[in-house]
Amino acid sequence: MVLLSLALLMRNRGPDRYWKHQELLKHARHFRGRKNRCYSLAIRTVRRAWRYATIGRHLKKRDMRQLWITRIAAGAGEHGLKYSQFITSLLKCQVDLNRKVLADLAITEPKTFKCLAALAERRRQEGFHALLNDKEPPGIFSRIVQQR
Amino acid sequence: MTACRMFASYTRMAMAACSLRGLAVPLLRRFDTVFLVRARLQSTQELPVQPKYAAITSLTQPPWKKVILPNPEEEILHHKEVIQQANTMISERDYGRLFAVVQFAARQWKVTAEDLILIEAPLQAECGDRICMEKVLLVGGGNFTLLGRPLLKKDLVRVEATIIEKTETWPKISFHYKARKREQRKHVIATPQTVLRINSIDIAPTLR
Repeated sequence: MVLLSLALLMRNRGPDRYWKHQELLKHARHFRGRKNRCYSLAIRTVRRAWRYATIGRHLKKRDMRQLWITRIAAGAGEHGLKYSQFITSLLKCQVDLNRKVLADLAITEPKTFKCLAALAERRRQEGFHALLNDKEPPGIFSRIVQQR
Repeated sequence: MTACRMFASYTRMAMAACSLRGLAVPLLRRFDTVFLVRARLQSTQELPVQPKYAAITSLTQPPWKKVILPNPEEEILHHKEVIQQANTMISERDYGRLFAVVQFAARQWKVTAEDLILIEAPLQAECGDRICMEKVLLVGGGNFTLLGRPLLKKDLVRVEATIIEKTETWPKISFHYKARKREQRKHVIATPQTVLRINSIDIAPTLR
C-alpha cells in the first residue's frame, strides 16, 4: 500500500521565487531603509518609482522648454527685447532656430545672439514703419490717406 | 465752419432788426478795444485771423517713438563692406574652430568638429559610413556668423560625420498603476540609438 496523502499535501510553490524577488530588489538597492532589502516593502516603493519615472518623462519635455524660454527671455532682455517680440521677429525673418539652440547660443555664443537680437529689432522697426507712417498697403485707397 | 456761418447769419438778422427799430448797434471792429454787452451781435468773420496756438497735450503725439530707419544707400554700402570683410576672413582661413547648427532626426543640434552626438533614432547607414548633413541652419566662427533663411546652401557649407555605434537605449520601464484598484500595466521600452562623430565643418571659399 502506498501512502499518498502526505505527497499530495506537499505543494511545489515554484522553484524561482528567490530570483524573481532579486530581479525586483535590484531596482530598489539605492533606496533608504528596509525597503531596499525586504521584498514586500520594496515592491510598493518600486511601483511608485516606476510610475513617477513614466510621468516624469512627459514632464521633462515641458520643463526643458520652459527653461529654454526663460534663458532666451533673459538673453533678449539684455539686448532690450522681450521674448515674444524676439521670437516673432525671428520667425518673420524666416530664421528657423528652435528654443533649445537659441538658449545654447545665448549662453555659449554671445556675439551671435547679439546679432540675432539686432536682426529681430530691425525687423520689428520695419514692421512698425510699414504700418504707422501714414502709408497704406499697395492697392488700397482709404479716405484718411486721401484727405491728408 | 457751419457754426460760424450760423452765428454770422444770426448777427446780420439781429442788426437788420435793430436798424428797423432804429436802435444804434455799436460795432467794435478793432480787436484791442473792450467789447460791450452787445458783443454777441458782431460777426466773427469781420475779425482778423489770430495766430493759432495749439497746446502740447498727451494726444498731440502718439505715445510710441517715431520710427526712423537708416538711409538705404548708406545701408547698401555698409552691407557690402561687411560681406567684403567676411569674404577676406573666409578666403584667408582666419576663423579658428567653426560651429554649426544642423537639423537632423527631427531635432536641431549645435555642433563643432570632433563632437559626439547621441541620436535616438535608427539610421539606414552602417557603422563606419561617412555622412554629409544637408540641413545647415547656421555656421559661425570667432568673428562672423552665416545665418540661413531658413537653410544655408549646400555648396556653401559641408558638415561631415561618421557613424560610430548603433545600439539600443537602456531598458526604460513604462509603468501605469492605480492605487488600491488592482490596475497595472508594465512595458519595457528599448528604442534604437545611433552615435555620430562630427568629423569636419567646411565653408566654401567665397560668399556671393
